[in-house]
Amino acid sequence: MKGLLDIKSLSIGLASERVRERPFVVRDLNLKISKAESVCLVGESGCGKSVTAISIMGLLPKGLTILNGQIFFEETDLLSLGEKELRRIRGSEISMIFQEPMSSLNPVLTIGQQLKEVFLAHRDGEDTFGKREIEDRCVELLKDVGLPHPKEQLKAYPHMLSGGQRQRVMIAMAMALSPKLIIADEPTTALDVTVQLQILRLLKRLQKAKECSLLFITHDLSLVPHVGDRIYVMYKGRIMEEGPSKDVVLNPFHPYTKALLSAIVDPESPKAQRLAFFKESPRLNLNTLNHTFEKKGCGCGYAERCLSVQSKCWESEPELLDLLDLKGRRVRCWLYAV
Amino acid sequence: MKISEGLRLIRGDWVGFLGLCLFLCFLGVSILGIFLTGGPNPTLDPRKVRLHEKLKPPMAKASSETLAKEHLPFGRFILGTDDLGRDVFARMLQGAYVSMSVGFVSVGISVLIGIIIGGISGYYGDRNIGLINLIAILLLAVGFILISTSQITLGLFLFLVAALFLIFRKTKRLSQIEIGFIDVDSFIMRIVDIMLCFPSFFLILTVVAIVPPSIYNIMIVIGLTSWMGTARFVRAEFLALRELDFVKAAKLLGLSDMKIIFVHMLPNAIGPVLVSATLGVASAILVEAGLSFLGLGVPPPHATWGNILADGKNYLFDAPWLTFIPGFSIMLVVLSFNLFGETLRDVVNPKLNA
Amino acid sequence: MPFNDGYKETILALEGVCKYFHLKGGYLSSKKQMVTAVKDVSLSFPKGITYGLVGESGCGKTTLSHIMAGLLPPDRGKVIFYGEDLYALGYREFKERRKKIQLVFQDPYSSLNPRLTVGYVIKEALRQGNVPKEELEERAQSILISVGLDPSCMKSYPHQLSGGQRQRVVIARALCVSPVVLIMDEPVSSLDVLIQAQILDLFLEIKQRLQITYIFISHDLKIVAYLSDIIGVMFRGEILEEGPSLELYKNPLHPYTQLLLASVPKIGDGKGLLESDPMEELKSEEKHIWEQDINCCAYYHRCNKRSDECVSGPIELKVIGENRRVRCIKV
Repeated sequence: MKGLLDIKSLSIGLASERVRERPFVVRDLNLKISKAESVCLVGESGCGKSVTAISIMGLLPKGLTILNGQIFFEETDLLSLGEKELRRIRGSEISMIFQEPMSSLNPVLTIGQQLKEVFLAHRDGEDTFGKREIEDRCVELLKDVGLPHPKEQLKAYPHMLSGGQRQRVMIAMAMALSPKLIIADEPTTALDVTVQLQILRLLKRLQKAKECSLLFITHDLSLVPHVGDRIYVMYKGRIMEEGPSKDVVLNPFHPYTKALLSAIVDPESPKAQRLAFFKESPRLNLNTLNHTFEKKGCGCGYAERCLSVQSKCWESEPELLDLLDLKGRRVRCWLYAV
Repeated sequence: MKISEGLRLIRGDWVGFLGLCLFLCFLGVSILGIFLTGGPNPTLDPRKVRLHEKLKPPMAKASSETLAKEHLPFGRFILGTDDLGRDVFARMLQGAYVSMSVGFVSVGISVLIGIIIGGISGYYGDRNIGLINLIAILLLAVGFILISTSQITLGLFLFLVAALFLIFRKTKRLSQIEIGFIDVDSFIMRIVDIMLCFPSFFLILTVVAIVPPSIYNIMIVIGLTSWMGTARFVRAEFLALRELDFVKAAKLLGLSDMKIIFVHMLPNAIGPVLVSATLGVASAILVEAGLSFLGLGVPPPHATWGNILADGKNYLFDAPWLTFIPGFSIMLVVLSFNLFGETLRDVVNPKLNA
Repeated sequence: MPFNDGYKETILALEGVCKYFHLKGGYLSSKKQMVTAVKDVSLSFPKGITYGLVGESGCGKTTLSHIMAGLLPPDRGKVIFYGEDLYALGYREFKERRKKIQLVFQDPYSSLNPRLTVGYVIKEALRQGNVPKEELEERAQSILISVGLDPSCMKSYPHQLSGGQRQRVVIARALCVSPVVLIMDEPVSSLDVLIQAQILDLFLEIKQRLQITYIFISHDLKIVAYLSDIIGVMFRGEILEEGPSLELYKNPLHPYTQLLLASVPKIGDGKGLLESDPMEELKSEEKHIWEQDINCCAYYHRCNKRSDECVSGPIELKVIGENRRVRCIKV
């Protein structure tokens, strides 16, 4: 499979100059996505996954800056491009779906107006669209994402739609210009379980139909095998484990991945077992400061929460290494470093 | 609210810091002014009329030598003299106290009234106004009017009846009598609308013409006619806060309504009120200056900045300092308040202190 | 008869509770639309039981939770607490009784007053629980430890704590007045999976320690089934199915419950979950809340087993077997 997106040694940190030892939000990240592949990026809130996603789009907020690294999208380094070129790529080649359907749509514009905006913004590309054609394509898009009565919905305002419907509109907007890569940042976290399932099905179906790649960001491991071909597990700005999603989920190596898996609620498992597991873990929430930021050279980032921690883990940080006998699996843990 | 954090924020925002410094200067000056110009034999006498020294420009020397040594700093009239030969500097010092106190007290009154009315309106919102509450309010209002027009005994009697009603309003039988079509919110907002219909300056003029002229009456009057803005701000914030979970949680814990309003909701609603209050101080000073300019303000010979302005209007070209100096001072005070107000709101907002 | 084991005393019961919301059409509009948020709900909660209420957003479970907690009087029906009609009590008695029913809200960010420290909030709650002044500090510390927080966080403001920590403070506050009923409205929905698991385990721990009645509300069936003894499934203001949790989880009777169960992604499932019938998608589209007909099955528009007899008239909640109730003609 040809490579589409290749992030090399990406580091993102705070932009303020006052901080002498700059804390990192993302450190030395390597991530690859091939054509028509779907990759999941998993981690808890604050681990830097959303920041990675928006840095691909070049939308980092003012407080953060790219310290190092390159993001190759089809041989071009996105970080070296200017605003004008990035704007051309955004929406037409790489598009993004955000988490909060309630606030991602402009409440004073109709659905139709917002959909049309996507086309109009890229009008001065190779394809230019006429007014009639844009409207037809909008209706088709809404039909593709499963909204009933698409022609009437074009005139509707966002507050008339439910969360699931709004998220479908967001997907329609993302798919409008048939991008090569779609970044979905926790698209179903704010939705109910039934709607979540529908949205995931929709995403998968569209991805297959249009043969585009998908970067799916989530904190819920149970969704991963259904959505992603490969998975990256992230913690405190570092990749802790990566590999084919089914393999990682059925046979996890890193202690953090194991913890994430055990956190998935299973009503049929005996309660005593679960209680025991978490009784042993150190109470994570005791006065931990904003745990996004981590200073350099302090050993493995997961040491304070790890159940299998050894003295080595506090002294130095392990590298992300391939597992000898398994292809495509890499772990960052002293337990597996030979 | 941590004071140290607040001070740090203020120091960071140099504009607000500048405003705060200016304001503190004026505060210092006005307090100084009370000491320097008060009493029967003040150091700097604002009332002493020296006709032979009239209309002297700033930094002018006094004509007789003895006068210079005893009474004047540096032997000069620092800010000149007015048409009656009075020392403008002394008068400005005396006037500073008046302006500041009028500014603060009237804003204090208006903010207090505004918070209470806006808070009640925002918190009780859609509830039907109980018959008891309505009668109590009407009695209070009538009693107030009676008292202010010097029918004291009757007014106090009505106050007492209203108080009795308010105490017993929570009993089961009485509290269930309601008037179906009037909301607390609508009722209060219509009162606010009525008050807003009157152009405030004319309202003040009318009241000032009726009541005996004194500095206290002016403060009360300005306070009583400018609470509407605050009430609306508070009501708007309360309407939003009421739906927040922590208010519902406070209700569930069994906290009394008063406690919820003043301890939980009000500190969160105070932001726009603070900005409005700082602007209100500025505006109150201007109103007082305007009243004095028209001759309806603080009675002479007590100096206020407006007085000095008023006296100077006849001599605009001969002695422009009589107009410029008080005018410029008013502008500086108002400016310092405006600059400081915005920063104050940021200081009080806990989310920005993260 | 609503569910009752017989030997456990019923602490809280809802009888025929209805709540309507009027949509104002403006001053000049004569159109007055009414949304039925809760329709004729009758439930009973025995002492010490954990009752799980499942339903999607907009089904009325939050409204129901407010009615149960004493925040919202129902338009019809009664809330019976300790044998007395809660909303018919006098003002002072009502406030005292209501304290014994506590509610933990969904959003940990708005559940705490941003201007008050954690210590103040807890101590204020303890004072409402009639704890004498001398014991305040000690009790505050012990309650914070019991929810897994370090007592040094008493000096912190809410914005200095993480979402999980805030939720623990909210739970601690609710426990300060020693309630007998604790209603939790989606307390973990906005938290990460790891923190969710911790908070859920905290609930289990508290449940073992204090024998109080829990009412757990969520849209996620697996979380509800994990914690509860009895589950009630709610849809558009009505209870569609009710029964013991494991039984319901393994053998759902109502088509909606079956859909909820099928929506739970299981790890060992493979890609089968995502290959769906395209017609299924369109059928399950949500219609506007106020387009419902009152006199037929509320789930009709989304049901995959629907037929004409489902719209013929109102459907009753039938008792099936021991302790199960279902509202469906097909069962």
